[in-house]
Order: sequence, then C-alpha cells, then structure tokens
Amino acid sequence: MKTPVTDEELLKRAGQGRDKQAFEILCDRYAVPIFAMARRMGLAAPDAEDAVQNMLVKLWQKAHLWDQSKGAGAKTWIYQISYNVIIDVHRKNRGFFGLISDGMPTENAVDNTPKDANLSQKDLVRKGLKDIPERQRSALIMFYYEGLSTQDIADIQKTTPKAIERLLARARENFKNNLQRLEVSHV
Amino acid sequence: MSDPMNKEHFIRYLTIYGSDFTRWPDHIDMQQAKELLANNADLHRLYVKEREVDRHLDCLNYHEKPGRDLKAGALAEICSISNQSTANDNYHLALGYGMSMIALLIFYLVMPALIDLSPHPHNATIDAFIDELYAMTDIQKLDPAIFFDDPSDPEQTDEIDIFLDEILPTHENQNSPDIWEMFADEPNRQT
Repeated sequence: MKTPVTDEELLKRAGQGRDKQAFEILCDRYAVPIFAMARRMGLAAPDAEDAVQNMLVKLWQKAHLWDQSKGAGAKTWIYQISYNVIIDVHRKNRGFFGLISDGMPTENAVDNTPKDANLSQKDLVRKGLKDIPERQRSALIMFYYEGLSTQDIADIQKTTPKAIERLLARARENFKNNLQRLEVSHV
Repeated sequence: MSDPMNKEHFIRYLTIYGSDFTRWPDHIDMQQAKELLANNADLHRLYVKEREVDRHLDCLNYHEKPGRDLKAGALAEICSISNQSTANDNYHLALGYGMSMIALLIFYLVMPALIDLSPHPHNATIDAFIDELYAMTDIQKLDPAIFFDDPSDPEQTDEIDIFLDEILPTHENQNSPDIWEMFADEPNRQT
C-alpha cells in the first residue's frame, strides 16, 4: 500500500521546486480545516473564505521560507500563517479603536435562524467562545479542534508551552462562565 | 518518565486539557489518573463539570465546508499575481532601456559642448592647412610618372632633376636666378 506523501515533503516540493501539484494537495488537505478554524474563531463565512484563500496564496508565496531544521513542522507552520491571517481579518473587522462591530457573526447571521429566543446549542457555544479574549480563544480552538500540541500552539503564538497551558485553563474557565451566563439569560 | 499523579496534578490537567484523557500529555500515567478519579468524589464532581464543558465544545467539532472552491480561487490569484509580476518585470526592462537611450541621447548632445571646452580653440587657418595636407595625400592628384616609375631609369632620373631644378632654383644652377636676388632686384625693376 502506498503511503501518503507527508506535509513536510509537499511543502518542500512546493517551496523549493515550485511544484504546483504538491501545493494543490496541500490546499486539499488544509483549506477545509482552516476554514472551519476561521469560522470557530468567529469570522463570517465570506470573511473566512477570503481568509483561507489569502492564506493559500501566502502559503505558495512563502513556502520556500519554511525550514524544517528550525523545528516547526509543516502543519504548525501552515497553522501559523493561517492564525496570522485570521487575526488580521479580525483586527480589520474590529475597525479603528474597536468602534465598529468586531465582525464576529453569530450562527443566526449565517444560517438565518431566529435570534435570541431560540438560540441553538451551536449558537450558545459560538457566543460563549466569542466572548473569550482572542489569544485564549485561538489557543483553545487550536488545541481542542485542530489537535495541535501546547508546543505547536506556543510556536504559533510565539510563547512558551507553560503560557499556553495557562491560556487553555483560563479559556475553559471563561467559556464555562459565558455558557452559564448565556444559558441563564435564555431560559 | 511519567509524573506521579496526585489530586493537585489531576485538577491541573483537568482544567487545562479537559475531561478527555486522550488529550492529556503522553507522559502522564493514565492508569493512576483513572484510579484517582474513581476513588475521589471531589475529583469526580469536577470531572463531570469539565465533561459538560467538553460536551458543549463538541457541538462545533465538525468541519464546516466553504461555499466556494478556495483552491481554484487561490490558484487563479497566484496566476494573476505571477502575470502581474511578469508585466512589471517587462515594464521595468522597457523603462531601463528607455532611460539608457535617453541618457545616450543627452550624452551625444552634450559631447560637442564638452569638446568646445578644449584649451585649444579652433583656428580656421590651421584647419585649411590640414585640409591642404590631406588633399596632397590624395593619390589621384599625384604624378605617377614622378613617384611611381622606376627610379633606376636614367631618363626618369633626368626628369626628376629637371623637375627639382624648376621648383628649387639654387646658386648651383647658373641659368636660373637666385630667388633672393630676384627679390633684391625687384625694386630696381620697378624703378
């Protein structure tokens, strides 16, 4: 049985050999998970799509800069680019001095489901995540949904694994409190 | 090497990694953790609360699909950037070529002025003299009978002598007056 080509091999081929076929395989592997991450981090679907497309273009342009000997695996490196792109979109949406809406849609805005009274469990979870500080939220999402280790997340957020552990603990605590608040207000 | 598991460690890991033991770090002794959980009611209560948090988080544990083909969009954008880059390269090449031509033109126009700055100004007399010298080198104007016939030929030698006598009157040639005498006689003649 033929073993699938690793992300590292594909990224190397895309970066050094400018191999578009390798790049397309990476697109197939990462476009959907990164889109899902962008949505969980609060971007509206069109913004999340733009962010992923932007990330893929950056991936092609910067693939030659990835250096395996520096430690970060291909997956971590790709998530680092994605994280930066998503955070950029968040900050643009937030606007000057945060006076404009933070651009984080609820499920209602996308799915056209009724607001407030009939919030689904997904809506509650999205709202609960939305109110967590940005770094805590992204750490929780990358750990919980993307399966990245604390070391990987530390590399992405340019901090230490210990700091990521503290972020994760605070993120879960804040999420728990937000859920309690939201559930009480909707009962 | 696994960490020794106790209540404090268990609570710490539970609050960081949640209730799913598969998410806990590999170095933790899971057997010890499970035994501790089974034998401690306080830990069990905390564990149930964290399991509820995980249950909520699991609501979003799926991969929502994008509404459009992002790979195709990215590839098209990359092609567009690449074409734009090529166009920019061509533009810069043409710009460089054009600027070089303009620089050469300016240099060509300015060069005569630079030559005029020479410390030796033009002199019409010298120029005319140089033109005459140049004309003398014109082979069409030379007498081939004098310069190109065999010099060892006695007749030729005589002809040369006659020619030289005609253009160079000297004291040795008594038949021809000395040029200085001619000048000396000139006032007498006029008178």
